[in-house]
Amino acid sequence: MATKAEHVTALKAKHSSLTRVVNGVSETLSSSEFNATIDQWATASAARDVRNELKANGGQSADYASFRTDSQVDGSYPSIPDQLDMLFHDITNGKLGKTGSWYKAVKATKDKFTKPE
Amino acid sequence: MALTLIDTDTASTSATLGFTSGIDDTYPVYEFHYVGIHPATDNTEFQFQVETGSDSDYDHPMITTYFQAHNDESGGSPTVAYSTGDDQATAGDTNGVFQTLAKDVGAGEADQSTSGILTLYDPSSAYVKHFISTSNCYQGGDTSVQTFVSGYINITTAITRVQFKMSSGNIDAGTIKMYGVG
Repeated sequence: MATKAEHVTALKAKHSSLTRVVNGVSETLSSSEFNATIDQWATASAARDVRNELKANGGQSADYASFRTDSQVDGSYPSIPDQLDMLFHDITNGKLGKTGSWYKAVKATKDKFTKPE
Repeated sequence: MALTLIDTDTASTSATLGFTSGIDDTYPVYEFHYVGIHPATDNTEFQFQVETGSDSDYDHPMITTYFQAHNDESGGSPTVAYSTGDDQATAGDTNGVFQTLAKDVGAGEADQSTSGILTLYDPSSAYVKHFISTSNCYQGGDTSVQTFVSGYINITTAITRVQFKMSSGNIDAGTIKMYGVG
């Protein structure tokens, strides 16, 4: 996981200049625009590194709710139909408690992506 | 209703694509058709913001919603879901951030990209400005995602500029066509 400063160094090594297209015409960014863009990209890349680390391994985050509810994140809450199916089977099997499949599935998500204390 | 092509931007390893003229009260509705937007960096977000007059800060407040439907190439677990991390409810005239229109756009394969339409309503009005976008995205994880983003830009000054970019890295390829609808 790279820091923002490491991303800045890598981006500046990769790009000696940057261009943009405005109204169909390509133009080169000024020196201050270049530095501002690199800074913005490095900030976004560093934030993405942190988010990817949390997505993969879980942990404490102010964004815990978005990880828990993002269906593209491994370990997020099961879909509503899947949760209802779990509840149906838990009721059928007399396991509507902490040993049931629904409770275990929801607890696993809450345990992976935790609220800051 | 007819579409009138106003301008076209074609990306060629470009940091941003923008339109700084042609957005006025000529048309009540403007459409931006983005086609084959392919980022240089894998799994980055395709985003937009607006400006007024000749400013170039692109930082106006928006109140937006973002939800998506996705399915992957294996066909496993297709889902529709609201994405709390991709909306914004910003306030204050310089506190807005670029709004994501499609997230995690793939770059690893040449055909990974996003395409869609951003519709901007009455940009010259003295009230807040509404927008709606629908995109489809071929994500880096070999997933097809349709995204639905809408909201209003919470300013009463006329919008004269629109800019598109990736959250990090260049736009390698793709075109954006700006149409007036009237």
